Order: sequence, then C-alpha cells, then structure tokens
Amino acid sequence: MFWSIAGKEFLDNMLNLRFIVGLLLCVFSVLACVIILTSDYQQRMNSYHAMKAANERFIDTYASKSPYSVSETAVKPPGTLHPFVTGLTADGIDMSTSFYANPVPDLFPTMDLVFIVSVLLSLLAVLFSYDAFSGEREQGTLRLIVSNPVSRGKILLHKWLGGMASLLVPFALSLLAGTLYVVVQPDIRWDGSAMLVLILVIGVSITFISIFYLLGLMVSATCRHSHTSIVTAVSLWVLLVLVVPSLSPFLAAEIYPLDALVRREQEQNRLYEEREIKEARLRDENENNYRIKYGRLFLDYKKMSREEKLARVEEDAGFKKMDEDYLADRKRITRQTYDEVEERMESFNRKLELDKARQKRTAKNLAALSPLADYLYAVTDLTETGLHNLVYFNRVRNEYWEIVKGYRKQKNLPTGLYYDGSSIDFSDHPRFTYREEPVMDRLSAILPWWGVLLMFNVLMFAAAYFAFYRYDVR
Amino acid sequence: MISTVMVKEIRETFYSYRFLVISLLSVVLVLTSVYVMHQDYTGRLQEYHHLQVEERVPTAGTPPEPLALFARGLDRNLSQIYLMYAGGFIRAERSQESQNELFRLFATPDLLYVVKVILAFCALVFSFNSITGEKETGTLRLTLSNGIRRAEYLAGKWIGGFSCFILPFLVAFLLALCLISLSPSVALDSSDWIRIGLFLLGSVIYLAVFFSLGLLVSCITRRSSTSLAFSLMLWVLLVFMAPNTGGILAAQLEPSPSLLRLNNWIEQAYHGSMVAVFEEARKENPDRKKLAQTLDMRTDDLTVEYTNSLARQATMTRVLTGWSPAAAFTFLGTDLAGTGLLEEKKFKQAVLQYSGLLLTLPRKSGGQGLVDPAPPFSYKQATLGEIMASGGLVNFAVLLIEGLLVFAASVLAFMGYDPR
Repeated sequence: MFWSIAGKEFLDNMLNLRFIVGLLLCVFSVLACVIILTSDYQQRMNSYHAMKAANERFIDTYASKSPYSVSETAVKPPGTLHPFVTGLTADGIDMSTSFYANPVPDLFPTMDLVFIVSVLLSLLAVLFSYDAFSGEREQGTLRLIVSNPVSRGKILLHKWLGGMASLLVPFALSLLAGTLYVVVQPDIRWDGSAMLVLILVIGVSITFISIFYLLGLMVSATCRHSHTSIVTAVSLWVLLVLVVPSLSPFLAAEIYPLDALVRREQEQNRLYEEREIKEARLRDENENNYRIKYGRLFLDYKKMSREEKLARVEEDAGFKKMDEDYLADRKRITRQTYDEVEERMESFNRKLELDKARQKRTAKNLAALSPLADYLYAVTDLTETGLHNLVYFNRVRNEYWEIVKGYRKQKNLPTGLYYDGSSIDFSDHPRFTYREEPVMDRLSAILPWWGVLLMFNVLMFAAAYFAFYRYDVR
Repeated sequence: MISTVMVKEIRETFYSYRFLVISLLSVVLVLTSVYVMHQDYTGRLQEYHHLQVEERVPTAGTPPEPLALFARGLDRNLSQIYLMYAGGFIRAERSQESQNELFRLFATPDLLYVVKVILAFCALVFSFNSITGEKETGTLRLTLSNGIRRAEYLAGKWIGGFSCFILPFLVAFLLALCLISLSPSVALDSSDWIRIGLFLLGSVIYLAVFFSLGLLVSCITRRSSTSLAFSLMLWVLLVFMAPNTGGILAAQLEPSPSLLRLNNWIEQAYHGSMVAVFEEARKENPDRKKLAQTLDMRTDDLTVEYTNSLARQATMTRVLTGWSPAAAFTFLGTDLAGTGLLEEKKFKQAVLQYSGLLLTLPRKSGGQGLVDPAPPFSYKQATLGEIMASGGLVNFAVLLIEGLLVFAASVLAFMGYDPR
C-alpha cells in the first residue's frame, strides 16, 4: 500500500509542469550562486593571505622600532563552505558600521544556498502540497483512495513521504551540481569536518522544507477547494517566511526599548545633580564643624580674599593649619561624591548591559517563532558564520590578546606608547591563527533550533492529521 | 463593452476570498511596517541628538532621514556619527548600536520591502488565474462569443482587477501618511511630500508590472496550477535572484579590496608614521613642524583608490541589475527617500572633504588637537532634481516601459489563446 500512495504522489508531482519549472529554476539558481560565491571565496582567500603577508612584512620593517605597534588584526579565513552559506560575517568581525563599508550588500543581500532553500524550496513545497487533498477531492480521486482499507493517518503519512521525495529531487540535483563545481576547484579542499557540516546543513534543510510541505497538506485538508487552499497556504507562507522574521527584532525593541544611551545620560544627569546637592550639604556641615572649632577666626577667614589669606598664612601657623585642613576637606568631599557617582554609574552600566543582552535574546527568541529564523540560526551557526560565531570569535581573539600580553610581559615591554630607539627582535611574536570551533560544539549549539524545527514538523503533522481525519471527501 | 467586463471583474473580485485575505494582509502590513519604522526612527533620532553633544573630537554626521520610514536603505550608515581623528582617520561612533546583529540577518520591514517583495507576490497571486481561471470555469468561451475584442476584454480585466488590488494598499498608505503627519517627531517639508508622492507613484507602477506579469503568464498557460507555479517562480527570479546575484556579481567583475584589508593598511601606515614621529621627537631639537606634518600623513592614496573601486562597483551593480523591476524600484525608492547609493556617495564625499579641511587647519604644537575649535560639518542632501537626473527618471522609465511591454505581450498572447 505504501508504494502505491507514496509512489503515486511522487510520480504525480514529478510529471507535473510545476515540477519541471521548479527543478530548472532550482538547479539554475544554485549553480549561479555557487559559481559566483566560489569566485568570491577565492577573492576573500587572496585578500586573507595578502593580509597575513602584510603583517609579516610589517613585523620585519617597523616592529623592531615601535613595540607599541606590533599588533595583528585577528581575522579568520573564509570557511570552505562559503560557496554554499555566506551567513552574517565571513571575516568574523562585523564591519558594517565602518565609514568605508561597502554599501551594495546592504541594498542587495548576497544570495546563497540557504536563501534558495529558505525561499524557493519552501515555496515549492507549498506549491506541491496545497492541493494534495482539495485537488484530489475536486477530481474525485480522494473518495476512491479513502474507500480502500487504509487509515487516513497512513494516507497522510504516505502523501508526505512521497511528496518530500519528489521535492528532494530538485534539491539533491542542484546540490550535486553545486558540489561538483566546488570539488573540481583546485583551491578548495573539503576536509572531514567540512563534509560533516555539509551533511548536517542538508539535514537541517530537509527538516525545514518538510515543515512547509506539511503546512500545505494541513491547509489542503482544511479547505474544500484548491483555489481557497492556495490563497491560504501562500498567505501563511508569506507570514512565516517574509513577515515574522523581519518584524521580530523591531517588536522585541518595542517590548524592551533599547534606549541605553538616552537612559545612561539621564541617569548621569540625575546622579550629578544629586552629587552637587550632596556636596553642598557636606560642605555646609564641614563649615559648621570649623565654625564650632575655630569660632571667630573661621568667620574672618571666610570673608577674606585669596590674597589676604595667603598673606595671613605666611605669618600665622595656626591659621595656616586651618587653611590647609579646610581646603583638604573640601577636596576630600568633592572626591568622595564623585567616587560615589562613578560607582553608581558603573553598576548602572552593568545593569544596562544586562538589559541589552536580554533585549537581544528576546529578539532572537521572538524571531524563532518563524521556522525561517530557526533555520537560519542553525545553518549559519553550523558553518561558523552566524550569531554564535561572533561570540566564539570574540573569545578566540581575546585569548590571542592574552597570549600577546603574556609575551610582552616576558619580553619586558611596557604597554602603551613607547619608543626608546633600541631595536627589539619580534620575530617570535605570537601570530593569530583562527582555530575552528569543534563540529560537536557547534552541533550542540544548534540543537535547540533544530529541535524547534522538528517541533514545527510534529505540530504541522498533527494539525494536518486532525484536519484530514474530519475531512469530507465528497 | 470594456466597462461591462471591468465592472464584472470588480464585482467578482470584491466578493472573493482572495480579495479579503490579500487586502487584510496589505493593510496590516503597511500599517505595521510604518509603525515599527516610525518607532525605530524616533529611537535613532533621540540617540543621535544625545550622541552629538558628547564628542571631544570633531564629528561629521547627519540626523536620521525621516523618509527612511518608507525606505530604510543605507540610512544606518548615513545617520552614523563619524569621529574625525588626527591624520585623516575616520571612525564610526561605537556606542551607536541600538542595532543588534539580528537586524542584519533579516530584511528590514520598511515599506519598500513590503511593496517590493510581499505586495509584488500578492499582485501575482491576484492575477495568475485571471484568464486560466475563466477558461477552467468555462466562462471565457461564453464571454468571447459576445461581440468583444480580445484586447478590450483583457484591458477590462486588467483595470478591474488592478484597481481592486491596489485600493486596499492606497487606503492603507493614506492612513499611514495621516498617522505620520500626526507624529511629533517626524518633520516633513513640502519637498518630502513630493518625494512621498513619487514613491507612491513608483510603487503603483511597480505593482502594475507584477500584476501584468501574472496576467501574461495566465495568457500563455492552460491551467491555473501551472500558471501559479510559473508566476511565483518568476517572482523569485525577478525579486530575489536578479538584483541579489547582480550585486555580488558586480563585486566579482569590479573587485575592491576588502574592508579589513584597508583597515590593516591604514593601521600599518599609521604605525609607520608614528615610528617616524618618535624618532623625530627623540632628537635634541625636534622639528615641531615636521612632527605635525608627519602625523598628518594622509592615507589618501589607499582610501581614494578604495572609495573609487567601491564607486565603480556601485555603478556596475546599477548596470547589471537596473533592468530588473525590483532593482529599479529599490534604486528609485531609496534615492527618493535620501537613503540610496546616490546620497551615500555624496555624503561620504562631503565627510572626506571635511576631513581634508580639518587637516589644513592650524594645530597645537606637537600635533595634538586643533588650535581653534573646528568648524561644524555641514551637508546638503541631494535635491529632487539631482535624484531625477541621476537615475530617478531612468528607473521610472524602466518600470513604465516594462509594464507596457508586459501588457502588450499579454495582449499578443491572448490573441491566440484557445478559450476551450
């Protein structure tokens, strides 16, 4: 029975014109992207090597004369999967705010396999499945299938499997074409971990595509006519893929406003105003103490001008002591209030940082409501081009700086601007080499996102099941 | 006769499920988009004003552009405050980071995106079965058996269908404009209103192109399901593939050194000059003038070469992608909003000029700091005339011509359509 339903679904899809259109577009676009991105990869790699060479030259020519300037910009080479997944950053550093940043990618984001899967293949999945039940009902074939001794759950399952198999044909073919192109390039070498990552990326992609196939099945099982089911399915697709992920960071900002700067300034102003009041109060108290202690002498002192005071200090030792003490106390009070402000500002800043981190987390999790976001997180994190890698790369870079600090200490170099004219041998200065995060660590980082994708699958399947269970096949 | 077809089309569409869903979607999306972009704009404006007073080094920057509400474009770079350091170094103010990286992972939901991507999609969903659907229900043969010319029939269907499709969008757009004009933080002058009007006009023409495209596909296919698949694949191709691959293809054809590489260059050149400065300073009688000059060592050659290559790349992108309606609309929308490539180029040139001016000002001995306070940075946005002259009109023309061509093609295709 399995082969008859799943096989029919598979063949039905394969022989449909939309399949040919989808297949051609898929293979064509993946190949185009892979070819362009491979060239981009080579360009980036050249630039990376050129930078490394420049660093070496620099250490040779200048470093020996200016210890301050021996530094290396920590960059990572583009990942070997760059032709398939470009992700957020290829260099590990977000340079988009730099004055010299290239504006073109901001207007036209790069296309890669991930994009093709997330838009084209998910749309194809919906287009393949939106009339799975409503279309068969219209043709009258659904009643015939249901009249056989096979449960509706099984029909749904087989339709899903058969449909997914037909969807995987364009995906597999385009992937194969892309992989072949990359493999024949002499300067891209995929090692075991790259292969493993590619397989994981494919796995996540299939999980993602399947959600949309099930979405189509679900909608199809709730609509009587295929022309309503297409509008519903496609609108849901638009919401899940095009709307929710784009809106979520902005909605998160609405929930936790990111007005850190403004709040910081307001807090600062408040604290400084309080400080002035407190300072005035403490000074008053202090003057009272002096009045009690010195009486008339202090009152006179307050009335004198600076010159008179200076003249008096010369001749009167008691007066001199009072003057010194009084000035020291004033200074101490000012210092004390400023220190307090600083301390409170610091704790306030820490709180702000926490707020900021919380806002980022909210945005990220809010976006996770859309399977597209989960998919993007998972795939970019797997290929070390995502949000997770920004954190990891920072850690690696800081570790490098620690090593450099240790080296400087060992060489007895002062930090900061310094030059005494003597030459120092820097040939053993530690160089930065990017160390990839182990694949297992990356995998454990993406498991939650993959889990959410699987959850979506289960939910959609359950919804489709219940809808189909109550479906009137006439 | 044409009006009969039109009225029937409007009536039919008006009561359809599709009209309900798509109207709802477009109204909600337009309003939500304008709302979130407005909140974003107000936040950035506040931040900009707070940042401006704090700096100790001369700064260059313009406040966020209110029209970025409609097309955010490159406004993030444009409203960045740049700190002008000695020696011609320009650094972006670091704390300006209400942005989190997520914003870059997903497209900004401004009106440009809503129209360019989502409403273009809706336009296709609206028109993909206007002919095939009629054929499938059998009404096409009946209609055509009346004394009506096919071109007239098609025109009637187009006008009726498109006016139904565009109406909710126009209503939502006007509503959004009312809300914006009530907002205290958005100050718009008359030129801005003209720009908004032109943006609206561009949007309508752009959507008309996609609506006609759906009609064309409907005229060359026999079944609705095929026509739908065709239309949506075309959508992927035109809205995403063409502009986005064009951008990166341009980067391959007109390569520019990577930004990291440039930074590395500048940094190393700077350190090189520092060594020279230290050497000079260590002499018995350091030549103060020479010292200041060395510090002013300009990294001009590098940055000029780099910015030129970026400009070439931007031009190449325009050439490669300009034919595609989505790219033409993006250029048009962002240029009109003052957040496009044109404005970016002009602004960065102004900043570089300002940086050059700062270098000529007298410095305190030792090269640290200016003698007098620096003159403020001033910048004038590109005028509407400039925008129209350098690409705006061309983009309008591209959209119009494409719309007409597609419609003409559908008339031709429909002439030979078998209504059975």
